[in-house]
Amino acid sequence: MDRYLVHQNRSATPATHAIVIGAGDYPYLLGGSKALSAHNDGMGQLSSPPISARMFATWLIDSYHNPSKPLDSVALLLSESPSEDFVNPKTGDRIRPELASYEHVASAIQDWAGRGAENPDNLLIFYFCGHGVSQGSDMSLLMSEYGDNQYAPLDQALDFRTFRLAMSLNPPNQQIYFVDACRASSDTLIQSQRSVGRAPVQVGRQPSAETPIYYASLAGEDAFAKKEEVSFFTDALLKGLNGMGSDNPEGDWRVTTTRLKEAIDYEVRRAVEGGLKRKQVPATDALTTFEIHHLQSDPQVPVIVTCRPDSENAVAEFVCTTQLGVEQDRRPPKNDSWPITLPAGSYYFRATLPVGTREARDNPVGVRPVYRKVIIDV
Amino acid sequence: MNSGLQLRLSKYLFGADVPRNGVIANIYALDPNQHANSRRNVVIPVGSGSSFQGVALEPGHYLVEVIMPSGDIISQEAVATEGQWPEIVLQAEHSAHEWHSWQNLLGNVQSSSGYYASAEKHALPDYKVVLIKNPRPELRSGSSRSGDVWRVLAETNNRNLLRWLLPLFLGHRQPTKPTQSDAGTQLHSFRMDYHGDLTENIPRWYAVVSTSRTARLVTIPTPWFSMDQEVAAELLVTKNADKSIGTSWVVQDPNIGTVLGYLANGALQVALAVANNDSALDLLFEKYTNPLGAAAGGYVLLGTMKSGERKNWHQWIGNLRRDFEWLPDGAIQYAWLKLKQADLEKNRSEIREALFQAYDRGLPYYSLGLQWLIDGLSLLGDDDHEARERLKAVQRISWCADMSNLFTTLTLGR
Repeated sequence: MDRYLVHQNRSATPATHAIVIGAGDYPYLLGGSKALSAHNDGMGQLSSPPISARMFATWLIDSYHNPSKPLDSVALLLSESPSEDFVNPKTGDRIRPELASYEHVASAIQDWAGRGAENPDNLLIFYFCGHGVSQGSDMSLLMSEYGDNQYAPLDQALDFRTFRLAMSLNPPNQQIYFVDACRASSDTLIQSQRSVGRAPVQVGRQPSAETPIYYASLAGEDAFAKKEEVSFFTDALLKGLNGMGSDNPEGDWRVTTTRLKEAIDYEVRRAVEGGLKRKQVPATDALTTFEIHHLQSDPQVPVIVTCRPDSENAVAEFVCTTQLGVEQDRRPPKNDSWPITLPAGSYYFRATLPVGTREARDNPVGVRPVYRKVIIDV
Repeated sequence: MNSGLQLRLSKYLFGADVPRNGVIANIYALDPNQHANSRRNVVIPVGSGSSFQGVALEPGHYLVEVIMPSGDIISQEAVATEGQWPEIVLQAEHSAHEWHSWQNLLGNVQSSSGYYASAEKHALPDYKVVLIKNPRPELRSGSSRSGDVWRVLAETNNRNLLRWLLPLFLGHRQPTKPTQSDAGTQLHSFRMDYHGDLTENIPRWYAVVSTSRTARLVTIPTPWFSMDQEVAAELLVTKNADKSIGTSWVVQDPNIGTVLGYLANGALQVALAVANNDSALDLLFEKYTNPLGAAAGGYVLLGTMKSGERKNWHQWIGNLRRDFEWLPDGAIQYAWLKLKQADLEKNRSEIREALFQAYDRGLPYYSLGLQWLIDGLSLLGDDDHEARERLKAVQRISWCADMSNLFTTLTLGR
């Protein structure tokens, strides 16, 4: 198996090849183990990216299912302190991922691009979680060793715009980019350095590929993730892939690029909403529709149950049962709505209140992606 | 089939309802065995009027889902019965003010509950809006000053915007007052009252929104015509979480006003479905009365185009470039059409010429145009000296751009 891979399952082409990068330990930034870089720009250590990247890699190996492009390889690069093994959920093999330094990432990207180019019908998946600095349409993704060279700090950064643009003129014809960047800096670094970083791939000679980009662009660490937890964006991404982003026009449940965006937009907004202005999800410059993943069981759908008026939630005991009357879940009175996750299907919801029992308006309630809100009038 | 549902999204839009090209709805059959009866990408009206969109359906139990331009999703169950067409009204959340309603529909400002929850801590700092009419540098195509707009803007950055910018932009300037305001948001409305030929070099307007700390140069999307009448462009000024000023646009165009919201949020497939409804896109490109709207349509079409496709609308992009010299976006779109039709080397000279022409025409109206101009110039390669010089100039300006705004917006004088 190649140096950066944590999973390989050589299959008949076309196939899917993924690269997953999680940069959390930055030795030259605030709280790091080496001399603080003069270009720290207020950025420090991140606990979430290695967790998020491991989670995404695990999901790919364990759950990703695309019959026309089965998973072939997953490369994983992490920076974390202390570094730990990655356990392949399919084989049980323990592998120590390579450090997410620029040199390693550039080399791993070239390997990944090479595997993708073997068949124009392959699918490439790129995932990054870590510090990002953006100005205009340029975005620098900072790798672990950022700041080690005071004269060229962005030499340890991936120039994402140029990289993705170059890839779009290289095979294969379908590539997906997930960029989960924590924008904790003042975002003037690019302008002051007159540099965005480096790109490990050169412009190819193919017609433009389909390259949808999904990226979180949430300023501030608090909007990025809770400490030691998976980031809001990656959580939304995984929920989308596990069913929120699916539809069943052919009968079975499939996640498409378009539906995944609707799910991620909804979920990220729900998680980080605040302030007068709505959080803006940056426009992608191309969002053609193609299939990413086929679900092998019913999609998991977030459901929000609430009384109307919602002040009654404080005295309502909620119960959810299947159509056969089997209790699925219940919640005692609490001063909030009731968020639960259910497999797609039909359910009965009721609330027991001091004034008696009340049923949901639409009982039985049809639950399907993206999400379902259940209102019980009191 | 003599059964179905009549659908409408109810949201008060301050007298500017969208009776046809409103929002996108999906209607899912809830019985898994009847999934083939589902209908997707149906466009339904939005507003407080009486317009409904009838959707023929087999009898059965359905879930109606509306995806708003803001990204909000509303759903409601409905039953289709043989011989009946019940009216189903989905209810959108209310906005904090009537004059927020369109901005809220497009996702620029929170709904009532979220807005009031955070309004007190987000009072606006003092700011002023100055309208700059008709700056000329970007219209000197082919002259020795063709790159002036890029140079002027680059020199303006990190300096006192008004002191440097206004003398260089030889246009009129006038302070404007908000048409509506509260403690946290202000609304400014712009209409050019233009009656000339749209293929001529029409005036260009910017707004400068400035505080003591910073200034934003905002492209005003005007003149914007819909059904032969000029429609006002409305600028909402808000305070961001980091205490800076934020800006966002609405154009209350009943044909493609909501398309702009979907486009701004990157929901291109949905934008395409709404824009294709009722021949809205055909009319935009064939009637020649709304070039800015046609440019929005061009971005939607190209953003969803697959490589190598050949479609009738491709000639529209060529017309947009040829007939509206004042519109940089047409030339940018033409370059990208050529890039998507074949590989770069095959169409290199045409792509290069179109990108250089766009550069000479000045700042694109749309943020997406600025991004595509940079990407296009980047693809021409380091060994193309002229392309590299232009790329450098455009990239310096783009670093000041707020790409979350649909129309090009630069933060200057930081």
